[in-house]
Amino acid sequence: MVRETEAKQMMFSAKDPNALMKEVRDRYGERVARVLERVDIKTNSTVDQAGIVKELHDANPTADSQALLDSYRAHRAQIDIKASVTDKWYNKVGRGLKATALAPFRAVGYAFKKAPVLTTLSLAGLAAFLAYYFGIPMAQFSGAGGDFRTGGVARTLARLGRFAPGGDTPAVGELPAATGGSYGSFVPPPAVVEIPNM
Amino acid sequence: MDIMINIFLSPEERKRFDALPKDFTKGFTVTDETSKAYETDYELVIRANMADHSNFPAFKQMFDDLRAGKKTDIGMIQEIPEEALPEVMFTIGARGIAILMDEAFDHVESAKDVEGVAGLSVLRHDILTSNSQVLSR
Repeated sequence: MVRETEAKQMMFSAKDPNALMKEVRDRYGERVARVLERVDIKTNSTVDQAGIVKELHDANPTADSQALLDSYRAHRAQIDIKASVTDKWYNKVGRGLKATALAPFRAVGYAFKKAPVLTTLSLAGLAAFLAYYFGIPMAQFSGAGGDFRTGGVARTLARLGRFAPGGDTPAVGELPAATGGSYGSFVPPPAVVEIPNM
Repeated sequence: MDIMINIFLSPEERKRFDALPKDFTKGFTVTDETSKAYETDYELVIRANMADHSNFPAFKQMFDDLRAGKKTDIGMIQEIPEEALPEVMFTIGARGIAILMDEAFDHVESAKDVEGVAGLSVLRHDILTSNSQVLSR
């Protein structure tokens, strides 16, 4: 298993497949990009994996090939999930919300206006995982608003654990302490990220 | 309520829904949320890292301040712009929305409030389905 710092260094930030490939090319070179272009995230057999890892190593011996492949696959999967959700929510033309998504979002908008704590919780969720990645100490999250209404980011993280998939998820036990932590306990994913019970 | 509204609930949430006054829950079609395709921490970190906050400059500013080492109070942002809501919902994932539903149940005082819970449940269901489809293919 790769170490925390390696896992973070291997993470990407691209928002679409083309940008992801450009990021790979810029960071690891053209040869690595060509190998990853042939990676189909659908196939995950150990035979394929071993071959690809070897090709990646040959293409760029300085990179941790296994960690790079894992990071690429995990990121590409999230891009694909986002595209799938976007297709459900947005019209292809004009990119406005589809009629089927309009009602749920309107209802949610109303709920947010009525109970501002929902806004704070959403922001805490957003901020928590970004902070987790960037190593921002919990102590920086302060002030009456967030803490008073939600118990702060730490409590939100603890609540997230209630809905975490079981087994291989770092989740609650690995999440930062309530104050002053530096997120040192980040645990990178297993080689293949699995969602159980499907 | 004139039309039936879908609401997707886990067994635990179903108990809370059933405990609400009947006037509030009339007109909802309850479907069991059977998917367990919730995101891992790592997957949520990836989503946070790839999120587009161009529709939400206040959050972007807050996070830039955090990265610059400034103390930040999340409660200072009072509202999420409507156009940023889909990005926020996707980024916090089915897990984040489940927390919002948990909280929203505490604030139900009318049928309209139940519609808010139902809206969240639909968005969660959409995300859970996509999580499952992409990661199991």
